[in-house]
Amino acid sequence: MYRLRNIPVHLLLILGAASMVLPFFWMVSTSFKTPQEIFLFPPTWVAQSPTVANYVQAWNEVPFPRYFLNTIIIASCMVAGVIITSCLAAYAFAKFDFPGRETLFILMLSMMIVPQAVYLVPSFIIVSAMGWMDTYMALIVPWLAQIFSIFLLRQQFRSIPNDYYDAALIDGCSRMGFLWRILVPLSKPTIITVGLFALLGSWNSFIWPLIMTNTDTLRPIQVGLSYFAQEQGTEHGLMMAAATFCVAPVVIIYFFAQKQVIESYAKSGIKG
Amino acid sequence: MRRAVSKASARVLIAVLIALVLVGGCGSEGGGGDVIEVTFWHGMGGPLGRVLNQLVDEFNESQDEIFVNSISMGRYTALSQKIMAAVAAGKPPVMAQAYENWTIELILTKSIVPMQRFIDGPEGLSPEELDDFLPVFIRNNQWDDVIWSFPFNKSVRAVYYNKDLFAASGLDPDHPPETWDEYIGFSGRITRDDDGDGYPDIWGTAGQVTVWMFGNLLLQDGGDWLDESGERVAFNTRHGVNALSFQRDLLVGDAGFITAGFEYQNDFLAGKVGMIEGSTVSVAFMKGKYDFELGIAPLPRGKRPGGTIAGTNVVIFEGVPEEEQRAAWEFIKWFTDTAQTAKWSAGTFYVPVRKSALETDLLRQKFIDFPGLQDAYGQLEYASFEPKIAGWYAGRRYLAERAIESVLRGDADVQGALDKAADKADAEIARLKRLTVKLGL
Repeated sequence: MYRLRNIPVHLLLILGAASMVLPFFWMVSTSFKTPQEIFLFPPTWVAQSPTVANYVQAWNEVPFPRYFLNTIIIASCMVAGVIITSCLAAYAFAKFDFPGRETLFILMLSMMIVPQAVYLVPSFIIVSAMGWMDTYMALIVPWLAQIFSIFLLRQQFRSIPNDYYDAALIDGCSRMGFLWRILVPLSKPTIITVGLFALLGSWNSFIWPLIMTNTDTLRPIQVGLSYFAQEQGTEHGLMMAAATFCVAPVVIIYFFAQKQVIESYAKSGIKG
Repeated sequence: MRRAVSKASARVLIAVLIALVLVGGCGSEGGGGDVIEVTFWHGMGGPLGRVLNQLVDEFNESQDEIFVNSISMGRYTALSQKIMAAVAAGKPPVMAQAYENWTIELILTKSIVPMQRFIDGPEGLSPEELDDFLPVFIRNNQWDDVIWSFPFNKSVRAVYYNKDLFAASGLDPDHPPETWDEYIGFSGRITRDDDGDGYPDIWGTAGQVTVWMFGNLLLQDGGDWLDESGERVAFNTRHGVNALSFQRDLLVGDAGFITAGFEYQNDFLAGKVGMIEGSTVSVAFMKGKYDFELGIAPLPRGKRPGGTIAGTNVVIFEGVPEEEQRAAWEFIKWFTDTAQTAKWSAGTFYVPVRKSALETDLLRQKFIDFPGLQDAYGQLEYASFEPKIAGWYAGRRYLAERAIESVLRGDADVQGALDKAADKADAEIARLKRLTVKLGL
């Protein structure tokens, strides 16, 4: 009886899952096809004569090893940096009373709606004036604080009763100590989510590193991917092969962090 | 346990700080010794970037005084953002690709050096050498009789057709459409509905919203981009109406369809479409991806043959050391020399910029391997170019969005849409004219 009731729900879920997985399936399948087969009509689901030529060519044509190293350096600094700054800022917004707190918070949130295209040129001029052009500093430092992460963590910290705070202080805990010893351990799922968002953001960033660097040795993987998509046409096989090996590490990390992400979404009251 | 947490976070903090200090130090690596480094920003990737990098490597190895550091921005949009930002910040590269409507703004803001200075200089070009360049490319790069930029990657538009589908439709595979009437007539004959569901399974033609196609039709009908004053657009004349009406009938009539971006090219490669238009460079992207006999032909003629060239030129920037500017010119001179422009053309299907290159063995062989390509290049004899005036960048966008796109989507009548776009374009051109006068540029 119970099982029967679940059938429609499961059908719906399977349908949803299929629509999410299909593009990835198509990506992997196309990456093994020959140029002729990609444009075959009607299309084939699985490569008829699978080849790894696309992978070999894509990997060799663009300096991907170097790009991966750069992305890993940038992503790890960003993940660590964003977690630290978000915890500090969210702590202040959630637990301290200071004049102008709400105004400041709303001002900060309002910055989220400014599109990147608007601040790209001013940012370029600032970065250039600081002498950071074409260095890792330009790629990392401006991204060490992220508004959405601060917002997410603030909601999480607010959900932890202030009684904990009072009790900790009475027991001789410092204000900093309360953040790192009590709030942070209690908010582990949210913090992992914040880290994951920072990881995804840095993994996928394209226009910023493109504009802020002039040398190949500093560029991340997304810039490498763009090499295969041109105004006059896209080299689908190479593009899909490169996309597959660029997305693989993130997918693997997501599998490990999946539980925490779902938990933190459920807690924050945001339904994705 | 409590200690462990705070210790761990302290360690992370220290690690981040150390990492930042360490990586901050190692920025770009300079070229050693007396070698002059020329940074060159371009938008070439994929098969085009491959050929460009080969040629740049060849140049760098051919001598030991100049090192060209070629940096791909992947796309023209990213390239233009990057150039504008770099110029605003006073940190331009030594040379870059640029469209004419970017170049005019760079001229007005005194951001580039006229190429004429180097052409007339000691390492310049003799009048005979300059004569070897196709005249349209020189005119394309002149403002007030001064050559400011230099032709780099130029192309013309061509018709690609599926000879197998031509034969299957009872058409002569060696007779591509030569007039507008043939163009639309052939398209109708190729179209067929195999499964009887009322929708074609094979289409005559396909395309996208593009100013390039409209412009070619406008010129073929006897029209022009600008009126005699050169300061007002003339694409809303009866010639413009004829052009856009034909574009609509061809692409969104019973025998054609439009796609976003270059998807129509994929449908053509899949053998579902009889004829498409594209840049000569499209061959570089289609090569090896189709399973039928490909025909290449010049655009059909209207009342007169006509067409516009596309592709970018190169500019050399102000604000960099003079020796780097001179070194950039050395590279440009080398790249556009007969042997190199022939190689560039053979690898990418861009047109060579010199007449003598058409006579090289390399390109002669190419013309044998790709029948019809030579005729497509032959359009250069009468080809012209889009306006190079300030404001055309925006004017062109109005034409694309307010006129061509809304007509092809069936939202507007041809004359009305063209008039609206023309008003907006004229206003923008006039605004920029006032601005340049006011700023004394």
